[in-house]
Amino acid sequence: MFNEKRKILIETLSSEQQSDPKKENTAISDNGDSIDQNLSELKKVQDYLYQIKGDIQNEAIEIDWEKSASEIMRKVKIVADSSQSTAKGFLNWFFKAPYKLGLAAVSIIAFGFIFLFLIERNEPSYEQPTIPANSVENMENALAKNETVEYLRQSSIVLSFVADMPAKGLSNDILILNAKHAKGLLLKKKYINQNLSNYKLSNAQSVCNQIEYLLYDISQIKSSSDIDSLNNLKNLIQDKKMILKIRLVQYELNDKEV
Amino acid sequence: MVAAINKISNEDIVKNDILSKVKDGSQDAFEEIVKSYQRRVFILAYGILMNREDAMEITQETFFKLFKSLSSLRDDAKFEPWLFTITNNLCLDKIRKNKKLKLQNVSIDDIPEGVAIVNETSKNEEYQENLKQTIKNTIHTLPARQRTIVVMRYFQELKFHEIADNLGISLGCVKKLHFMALEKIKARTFKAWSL
Repeated sequence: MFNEKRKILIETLSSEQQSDPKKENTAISDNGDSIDQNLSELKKVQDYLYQIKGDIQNEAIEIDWEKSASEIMRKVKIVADSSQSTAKGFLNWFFKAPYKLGLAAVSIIAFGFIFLFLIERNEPSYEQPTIPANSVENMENALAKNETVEYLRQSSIVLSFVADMPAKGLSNDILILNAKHAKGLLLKKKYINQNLSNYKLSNAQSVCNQIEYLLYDISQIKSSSDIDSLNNLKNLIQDKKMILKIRLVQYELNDKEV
Repeated sequence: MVAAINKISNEDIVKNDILSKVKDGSQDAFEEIVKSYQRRVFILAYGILMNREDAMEITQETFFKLFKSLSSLRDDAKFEPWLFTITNNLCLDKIRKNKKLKLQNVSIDDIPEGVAIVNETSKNEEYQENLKQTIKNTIHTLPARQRTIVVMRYFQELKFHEIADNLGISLGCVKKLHFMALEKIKARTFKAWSL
């Protein structure tokens, strides 16, 4: 019953037709007094709403709509022009002044390089230190040269001792010590043989080999009774100018840039 | 001045291809739309905000927004509902943002119920003005959709099916919400009538 009354009210109030008092009264009398009262109250609400509408329309009449429209269009034109001019300005700048574009591009590239340079400069390097392969080879050559030079220096001392020793009055202790030095140099010769095969020390190799034979003989003399052997060695060293040869090779190696 | 206003409908807009001209950059075509719809937009805004200055501001803002976003409207037949939706949304934003709005803080409970006691014999002008002001205040406290329906129905004089189209809801729903709005206005403003 309540829903029916409500439906009648909704439909009556939602009618698009102008109010017809006769028709309204019929509807009301057919559906009871409660609808009658409620509907009349709601109709009064509608009347007041229409009155308010009149007030609003009076307000609207007072407004200068031409001026309002021109004001709206003025703002719209500003927006339209600014958006067009922004687009046009960019296109003009882009197409009519290419040197500016080039300048901008160069500037950007330059800034990029500076940026990268600064980053690389400030960034600590965590890379392992690398040594070029030829540097390792040079170091090995330098080491071999120094060992050869040192071998020649010590050999020249031993050979010089033999070459300069007096014919008589030599103590056995000195001869034994010299023989011991000669043995030590023979061992060292075996150690540097590998280095001497290097083509850069090939000149020293032949001298070192000659020294090796002499040192072998010297290492065998441990008593002054072997005076003949000593004299033979002494003559051999002098004849072959072994001390001179050794010094020349030493000079050569020292001057050589390995 | 009202007579000078060219009143065109949504059908006219579609028929004359006005929106396409606007989308192509014709400011004259847009001016035609402004002149035809600004009064209707103003009345909708005024009905919701109940403030003339704010309504004028919203009217201008509506067309400004319309011009910027018109290219996104795909169906020209939906132009009118779209325009009123923009107005409605801007009004709701305005209500939310404008804390100084006179009626912003008026709640249903704040409305003095005794103001509108009807006395059939005392129909002086002051009484009528008070009553109308009370109804305006009550409209402002209605739920957003009911308020919009009242404004469209009574102030914009739209038919119920047009309101339904504009709001994108069914005709039955519009009628029901309209009835509920009237009931609320009556209950709050004319409570004394039932005595």
